[in-house]
Amino acid sequence: MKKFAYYTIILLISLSIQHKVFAQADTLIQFCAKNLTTEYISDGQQYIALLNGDEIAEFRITFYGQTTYRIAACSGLTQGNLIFTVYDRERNELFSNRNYKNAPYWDFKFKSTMQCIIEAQLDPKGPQSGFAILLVGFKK
Amino acid sequence: MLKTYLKNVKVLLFIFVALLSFSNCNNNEEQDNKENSIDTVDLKNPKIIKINNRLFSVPSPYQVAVLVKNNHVPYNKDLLNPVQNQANYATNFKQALNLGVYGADLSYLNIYEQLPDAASYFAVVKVLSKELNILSTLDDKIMKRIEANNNNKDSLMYIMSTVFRDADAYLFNSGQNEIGVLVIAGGWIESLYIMTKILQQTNNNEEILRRIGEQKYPLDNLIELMRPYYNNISDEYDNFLLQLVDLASVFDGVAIEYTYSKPITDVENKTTTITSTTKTVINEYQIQKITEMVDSIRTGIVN
Repeated sequence: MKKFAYYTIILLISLSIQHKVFAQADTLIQFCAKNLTTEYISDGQQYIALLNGDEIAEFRITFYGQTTYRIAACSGLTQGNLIFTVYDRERNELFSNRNYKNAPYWDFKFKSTMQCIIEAQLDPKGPQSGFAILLVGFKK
Repeated sequence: MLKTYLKNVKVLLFIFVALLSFSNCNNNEEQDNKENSIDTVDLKNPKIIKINNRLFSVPSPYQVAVLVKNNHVPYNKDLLNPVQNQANYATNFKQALNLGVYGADLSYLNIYEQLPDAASYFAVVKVLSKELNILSTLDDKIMKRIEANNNNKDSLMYIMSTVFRDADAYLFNSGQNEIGVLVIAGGWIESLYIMTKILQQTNNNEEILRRIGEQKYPLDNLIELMRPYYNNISDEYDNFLLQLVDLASVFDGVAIEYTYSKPITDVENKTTTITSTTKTVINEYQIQKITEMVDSIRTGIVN
């Protein structure tokens, strides 16, 4: 019976934490979306990862040529907590917001269609864990 | 024994209610303590989230619709999945795929400013969303915004893209990531289907031909998105993924030559111009094969 009670408590605590984690992710997405103004159409997806310490989230994305995109990046409800870096498929660094005070959004004009890799990590000066949220929109 | 058991249950219930109250209490205080509440959560089990990381992206169908319109291709309603088909979609698998299909069709209609038709497509999007239990993303507030903007195609597209992103987030957060992935897959297939049909109509328009070839990487990304659920959902899911893998084997022959060039950054306008170039080489056999396979996959989705 003690074991049953123990496991049930663990389960309930886990459920409660999970509930809260998802609610926070939603709040963060809404916060981050403020940087995708009405000029930009969302690609209909949200990119989210839970990071601890120096962990890096990576995702691959295709950008079409002759198009302007905006990448919005957030972690926590303070702007500038997330560092994001854009690489080409050969891992040449194309841009990093760390060179621009961790700017929470940046625009990219692509001459040609390209597959890129985006890496996101928490700013070491900020919180040690948190969600990394990236949103992508393209200019109408 | 029974008394002890009941006592334990009472204690557990109390703890659970207390935890929920604590959680809700925090939510109420969120406006005041947003930064702290987000950043100081003690996440003892990060795997809950990390397993479901979404690290691959598929381009929006709206971009394909813009490309088609920019090439002065006339509007053709026959390319779209008729709204009457919606009644045939009884499983979550079909509903999710066709939600993506109708979403892509809605982009096409919107770009061509076919607003009366768009209204009927919007209605099926709403029905499918309800059947997939994601109707909350199309709540009354959004419906009112859509009605208020029904003559403004740009606003409508902005609202709809946001609705699809919110639906994606909802499905992710509610542990139904595979449904969200199928919506994306349906939208991607429909866009590619429209492009292959238009290519035939335009006698191999070079830009559309190139854009079809460029789908090589988005398809790889789509397969990576779907792969974690292989063998976990249903046979029809697995078969659909295998069809995409077959399609990818044809795309593998498409050559994409890349030349790096240093980007130019305009700090004042927070803009970086990526000057690197790619050249896509796709031959006649590949395009014919891709057209046939996409037609077959799309038929399987909409019928």
